[in-house]
Amino acid sequence: PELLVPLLRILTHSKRASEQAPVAAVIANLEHESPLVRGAACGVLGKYGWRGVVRDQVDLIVDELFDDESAYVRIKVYEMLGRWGDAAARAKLAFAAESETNSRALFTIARNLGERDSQSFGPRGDHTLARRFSTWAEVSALDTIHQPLPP
Amino acid sequence: MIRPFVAWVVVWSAIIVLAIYALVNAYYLIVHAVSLLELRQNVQERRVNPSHQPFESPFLPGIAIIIPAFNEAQTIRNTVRSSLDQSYPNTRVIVVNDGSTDATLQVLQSAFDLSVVDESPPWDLNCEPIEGIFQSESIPNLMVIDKQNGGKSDALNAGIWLTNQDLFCAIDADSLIDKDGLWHAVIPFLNDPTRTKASGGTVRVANGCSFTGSQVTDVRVSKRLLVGLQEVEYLRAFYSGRLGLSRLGSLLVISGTFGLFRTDAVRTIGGYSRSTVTEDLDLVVRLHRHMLQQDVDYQISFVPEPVVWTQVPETAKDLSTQRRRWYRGLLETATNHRDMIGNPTFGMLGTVAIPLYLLSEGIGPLVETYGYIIVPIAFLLGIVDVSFFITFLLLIIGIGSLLTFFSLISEVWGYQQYRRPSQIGLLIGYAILENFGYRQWKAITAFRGLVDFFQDRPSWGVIERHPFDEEPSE
Repeated sequence: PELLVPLLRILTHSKRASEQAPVAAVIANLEHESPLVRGAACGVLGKYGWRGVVRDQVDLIVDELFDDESAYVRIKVYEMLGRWGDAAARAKLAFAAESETNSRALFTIARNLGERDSQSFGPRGDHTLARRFSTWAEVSALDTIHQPLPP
Repeated sequence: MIRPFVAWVVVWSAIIVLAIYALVNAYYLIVHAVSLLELRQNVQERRVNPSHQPFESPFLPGIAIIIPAFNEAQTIRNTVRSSLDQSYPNTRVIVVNDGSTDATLQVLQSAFDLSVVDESPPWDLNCEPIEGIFQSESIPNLMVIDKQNGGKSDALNAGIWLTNQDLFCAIDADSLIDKDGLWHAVIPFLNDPTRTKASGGTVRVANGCSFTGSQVTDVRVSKRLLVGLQEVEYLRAFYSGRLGLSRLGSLLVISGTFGLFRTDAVRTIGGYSRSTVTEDLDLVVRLHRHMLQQDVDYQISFVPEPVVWTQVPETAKDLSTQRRRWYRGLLETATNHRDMIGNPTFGMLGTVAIPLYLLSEGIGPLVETYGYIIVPIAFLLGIVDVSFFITFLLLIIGIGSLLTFFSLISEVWGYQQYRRPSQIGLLIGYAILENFGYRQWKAITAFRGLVDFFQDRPSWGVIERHPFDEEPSE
């Protein structure tokens, strides 16, 4: 992790690679034993959602990622899906909201879904909470800025 | 009959006092010498300019600057301005109005164009009930939490629980952050992001300085004796004391005036304690305790660069209130964490750092007070020889002044905030003067703090503030 995390972070901020660039190693890191590595891998993959092969391969393990024991990793997964932003990714975010228990992770989902969709996801049927998150998602003082430090 | 007994008490207590005095001063000398080594390294590192533009780095963590404010209408506008004027790019400013009874909230509303956030906070803020939350219309990264009074710790906790930033910076509402202050303090987190849990920086005295906007533009030593004496103390405490302790891995306190912390680490230990009057000392000790108990590899750092400018008390009454609170807080923290003292489970910290800290800062002033009582008695009884007494007195003054000169050397060598030689001369004068009256007064004040501790007397007190752009009356 001492080497992988900085490497993945640099990849996250490097110029986007071509369509042929191998990403299998990055995807494999979603199952790394260290939550720091799993989270950092999500950061890189958020940048490559335009490649169908990336979305397809992540789809295979996304349910496991929703159940990750680390809230930090789950937040990074939600940010990755939010960055992809297509209909399928948004549907996954709405699905994750149903079972997410960590307030900050749920808030990340609301922020990435935006006002319209977060009003409808109703985490555990709680529309009041959804409305509250939706309001706070617009408050820039509550932004998360740039790369989070490792937990 | 009585005289031999008194003589016996005097002689033996003098031996004990001398032993403690020798130990404490040996400890101080080691810490001060180590601080010079640390400073040398720091000065060398500062000479190296990075080849990249650090302002544009995507790897900078976000920092929430949390300002707890209780009746700070006089200073809050400038404090918030200085927090917004940071050269560090990724900040959010959260002011927590802790049930002020003066115009603090009104000042904030008129200065920063606040509007109410319609919904209650997105999660529980671990504090007294919230009255309202405001977002600045004109400054997107500024937010104000208005809550019922719960004390400084409670106000800080509100901000810590609300923010989503990785780091938070706690500052006092009567202080101004230097525009590059966050850059300096964040360096340990950039160098070692996993291990670093907290960092502190040098707090400098703002009373004699001139300001433009919210920044100090002309650094001067105050001509007011009481303020000048405190300037010498601050230089000694930060440039020599904390810098050396940080190098030795034994830093036990990060000033409540300015501290940068890992938000998740502080949340994990429950935030600031509401049951102590020196929440800053207690927090750092609890961080040490938690990390050591969890066997986490960690560091708590100190950077010597000046990061914040603060107003110090200008009257003996206000200073006494502050120092009694500090001393009482030290005793509270020592009592709350007494199981760490001398405990090898806590490694060097438990066996060496905490005992020596308590000996120097806790027992030292009491021993000194005792000395002021016993020496005149010894004189009257003819037990102490005049030449011995004068030699001893000169030794005390000499060592005290030597330690202060260490920190003045650090200032001149490392930072040159005081640009005129006359200012350094004034500081040297204060360094000598403090041995005649001020030091003795502080020892007695510590003794009064001890009485406050045993009487369980609430001792926050009210200290008079001035707006930063206003000259205090002489």
